[in-house]
Amino acid sequence: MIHPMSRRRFLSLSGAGLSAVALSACGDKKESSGADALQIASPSKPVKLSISADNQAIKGGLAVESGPLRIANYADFVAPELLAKFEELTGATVEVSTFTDDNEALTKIASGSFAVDLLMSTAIDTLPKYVATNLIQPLQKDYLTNFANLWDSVKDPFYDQGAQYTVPYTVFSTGIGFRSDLVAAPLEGDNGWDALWDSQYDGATGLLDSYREAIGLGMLRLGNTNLNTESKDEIDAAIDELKKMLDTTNPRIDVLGYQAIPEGTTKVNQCWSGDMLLALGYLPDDVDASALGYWQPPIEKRVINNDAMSILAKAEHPVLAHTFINFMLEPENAAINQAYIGYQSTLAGMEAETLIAAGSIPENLANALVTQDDFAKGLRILALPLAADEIWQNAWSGLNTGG
Amino acid sequence: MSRRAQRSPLNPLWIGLAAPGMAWMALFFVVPFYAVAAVAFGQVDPILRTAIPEWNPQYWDFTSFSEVLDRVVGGDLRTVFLRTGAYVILAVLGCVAIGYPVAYFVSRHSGRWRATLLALMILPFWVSYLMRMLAWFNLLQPEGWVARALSVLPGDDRPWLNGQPSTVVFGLIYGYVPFFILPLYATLDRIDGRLLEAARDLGATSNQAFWRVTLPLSRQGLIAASVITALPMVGDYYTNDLLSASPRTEMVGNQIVGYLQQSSQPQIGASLVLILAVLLLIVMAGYLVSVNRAQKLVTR
Repeated sequence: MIHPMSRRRFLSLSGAGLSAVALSACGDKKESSGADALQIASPSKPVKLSISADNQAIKGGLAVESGPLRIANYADFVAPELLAKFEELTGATVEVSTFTDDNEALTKIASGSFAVDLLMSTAIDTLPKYVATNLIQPLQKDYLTNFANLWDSVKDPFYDQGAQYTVPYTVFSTGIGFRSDLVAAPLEGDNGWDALWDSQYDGATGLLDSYREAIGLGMLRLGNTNLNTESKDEIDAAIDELKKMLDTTNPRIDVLGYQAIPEGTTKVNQCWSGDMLLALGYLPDDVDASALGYWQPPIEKRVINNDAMSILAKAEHPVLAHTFINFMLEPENAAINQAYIGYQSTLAGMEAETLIAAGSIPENLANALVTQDDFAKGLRILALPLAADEIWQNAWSGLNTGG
Repeated sequence: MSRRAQRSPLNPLWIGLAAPGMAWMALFFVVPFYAVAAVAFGQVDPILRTAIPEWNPQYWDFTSFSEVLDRVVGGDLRTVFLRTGAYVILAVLGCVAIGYPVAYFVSRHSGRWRATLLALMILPFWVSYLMRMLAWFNLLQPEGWVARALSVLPGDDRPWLNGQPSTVVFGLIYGYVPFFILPLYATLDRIDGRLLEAARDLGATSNQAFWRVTLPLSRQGLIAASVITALPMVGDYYTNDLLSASPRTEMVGNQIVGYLQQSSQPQIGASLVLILAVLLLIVMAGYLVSVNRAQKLVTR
């Protein structure tokens, strides 16, 4: 299925980001008490997020508001068919405001310029900030009758024990996408990422424009699985590894691998698993789906993450927002969404075997779907203390100067 | 005309008519600029890492700005600024090489085709800059028409969209040359044809008339057109983002967007905006001095 995903690129390149300076100077200022207010979780140290007295969940049994439902999401990251279906079901219109990354979403929500009800696809590593500043409200499970459809492993996640604030939206791994007809040999084995440093792919590689993912790749190649390190030395070592990549293959750094790989702009490209399923819609007419390939490292070195849906504390239509979340937890709707955005949800029935049998994805991309077992074992990118986060960001900025 | 007659008193009517526009411009330049300064010299929320602008200059904190300035003068950002300057200079020279002959032809030799050619020159403005760059992205992909056409040249199988400075410069030229041609056309069109006739009458060849009459008279228009194109080029970020996306071609605009959009250090992005603005003001000052001198020569 081919759909106008070029809008995502269009919006991702718009000048909206520069308004962040002015936006941050206007609107309500959400100020917080201090860095120690962040509840940073890990699989080995799960966290039950605090709920303040003035930020309780809404009561159950309330009437659904007439809308409109205002959603904040990445551009084209929810199927239009589902939005139309929801509108027909509830009679409420749905309005989508977009952002290009999590920091932009946080800035806009904190400044009040995003007056939305529902925040979709929030990265887990920014969740502590939303909770610490009471920007999102606890969920009222009475409205989430489809909650049982979720994988058992995400009903009580380590980053939000009891799923008080969030419901997972999509799950994805990080690997390397490629076109098997354009590479010397299909990427396989434990060190498929070496292709990104292979000079035969000079000018034909891509790296994710995400400082945690890209620097993390450098770390993993060096054998360091501590992707949440606060050590400047470890981060610098990973940056040196990425500089070697710049010298040998000069990669594009963006999040457009889902288009660059199938169109042949890049031959090997760090990407998220959902990107490869999305890439099916960007293949030229004369290229078969079997040409696409996705390599991921062994599970002990594989990054697996999920994002989440949450409801804003100042949502004007919280019941409607809960209704939409419940709507997205229906397997039929999750399948429609996966077919459009490429990324899978964490619902029962979204397993690789089921989707391959249903013909939703080709067998050569079966490994682009995350299994429950892998989800439990994969490496996670977690929130960092602020000082450590600055080290990561400065290192990334230094790499991007290209000097 | 006597010098006294040239100095007409300021007419309150014209001042009144110009005042709202001038106030509007002042408001939407000064206030945003001050907001940027307030962010650059302000604080950052310890949790959200969003900017907390400091509106009172008494409490401005220059620590972050100083660090950025150090990086610009002697650190990693110096490379980015020098690279951006080189790209802009090359792109402006490219605009001159392409745009001057076009503007000259349309203004002096187009005859009955002038209106048609003018309309064609304005046509690019109907399509957004972003869409025009997207078109080039498709054309320069490995299977794109332009890439395939260029690949027949001996030894030219370069990946046009992967970190090529030439692609970025060509993209800037393509994107901004319409903005170069129109003001230059207006200047060339205003050159009195009788001056050229007089030059020919005095024995100058066509070439000599161009170099000794047309070109000097179009100098101010050339400078104005160069400034009009160079200024936005300096802050451009999506040409590089789209056509290269490589750190090897990173421009100042990319660093600004990176810090403002993707980092928790917006004060650094705001500091870069201020430094860039100061550098551009210096360039603008040079342009204004040039205009002023030219004005004095004309009215002498």
